[in-house]
Amino acid sequence: MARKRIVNAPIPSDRSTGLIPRDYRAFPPGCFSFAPEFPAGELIPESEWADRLQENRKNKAGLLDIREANYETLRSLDQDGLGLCWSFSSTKAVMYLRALMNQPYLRLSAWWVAGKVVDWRDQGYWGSASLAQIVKEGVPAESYCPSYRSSYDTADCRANAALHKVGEWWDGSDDPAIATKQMVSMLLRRVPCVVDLNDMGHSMCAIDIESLSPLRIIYDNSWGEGENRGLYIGQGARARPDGLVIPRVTLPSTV
Amino acid sequence: MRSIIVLILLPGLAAAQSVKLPSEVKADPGVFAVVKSETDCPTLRWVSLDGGLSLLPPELLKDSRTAVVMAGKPGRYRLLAYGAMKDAPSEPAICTVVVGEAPAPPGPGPGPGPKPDGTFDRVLILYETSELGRMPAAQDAILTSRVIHDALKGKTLKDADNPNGAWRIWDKDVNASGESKPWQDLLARPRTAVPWIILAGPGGIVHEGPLPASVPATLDLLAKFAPRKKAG
Repeated sequence: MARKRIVNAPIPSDRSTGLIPRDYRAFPPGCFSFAPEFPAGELIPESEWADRLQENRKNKAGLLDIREANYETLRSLDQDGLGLCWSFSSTKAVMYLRALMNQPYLRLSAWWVAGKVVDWRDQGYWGSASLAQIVKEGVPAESYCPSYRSSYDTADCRANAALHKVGEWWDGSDDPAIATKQMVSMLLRRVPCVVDLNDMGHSMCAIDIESLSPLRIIYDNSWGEGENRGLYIGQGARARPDGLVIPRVTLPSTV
Repeated sequence: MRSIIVLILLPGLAAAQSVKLPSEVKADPGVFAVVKSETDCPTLRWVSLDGGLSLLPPELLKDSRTAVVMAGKPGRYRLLAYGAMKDAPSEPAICTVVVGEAPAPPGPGPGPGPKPDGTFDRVLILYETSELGRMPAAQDAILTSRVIHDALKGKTLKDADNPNGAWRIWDKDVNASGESKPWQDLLARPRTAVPWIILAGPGGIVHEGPLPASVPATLDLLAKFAPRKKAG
């Protein structure tokens, strides 16, 4: 008997801000109708990791290189003290996908995505919730919704958002050890990952690998540029996703 | 034993007919140019593929394995040659005769519209997301290589729709309805494989085929069809 697939998760009853750990018992990997589980065949064997990383560096093919080349667009977003990291992480991942496709430079509005999901409250959630919204209704250019105000949610804004939907994504494992391998496999293929870290109570967009031993992950954070040009290096528990979603294909558009 | 080896090798030698031409020969307008072949065929046939390039009749030459050509106007002209040994034809070979300083396509006189000149200003690379895991790492790296991106940025058109250069790297199944028509047209072209690369110029497609196997090979392909910088 086929498992009933849940369209989206309800807003958590926990009213805290920031990352709320995803309840994997209620929402197991692959439960969302728009997000199949990460295919086991997509894992890159650990024996190939070092060579792959070296190949990326040789070709300047990592997402960090892409960020440097498109810095004005891909410099860090700023959640401005609100607890909406779970929306900024996935919005940033879509911006990287657009840069990889060479769609015209565009900064996107995580504000609108969060506002549509939690009705413009300062409310915590997990990363896949915002990606679900981007699959369903897209994400507008930042110019349409430059801050967290519902008055920006106009018909024009919604029409622009629809141009930037994500078409394909994968849902990562609820086992942090497996999710780590999935994340590394994707980063080696230069696919941005939306990573929830319960240890930090924070969700960020993982973009590259600083080192494999020890594993150190480079995140594009959403606290503005500040120190380290808006990048955060995670090691140990902060290099092991407690929640992982991977947007794969976004719509190409010129505006 | 030695005679047996010779007998085994002989058929191979007999079937080794080939024709090689230089990839390019430069010439001045209105001046004869010589195109020499490397071949084991006793005679060759020559065909001018583009109007405007004249061939000296081969019967006037002592050896048909050399061609003498002339064009009155600057441009790039393709010259094809083939031969045969016994009943086995060779593969055709093509040489481009570059006449003058500013190569231009052959064809009718000046007009307002663009003319194909063998160079590109727009590039589309297509891949299949679900097959990325099976792509060799060296080829996979092409998709996100900053070296490739910089080359594309430097060699392609820049306009309002393409502020960072007219190049795109897409999953082959994307919905491109939000993109401008030139991109939709390129995406709709028939393909025989993925990953795939299309180089398009103002006058049409200048190259389309499987994506090269590595970053250096892709740079070579781009260089081959890249617009030439104007001197001065």
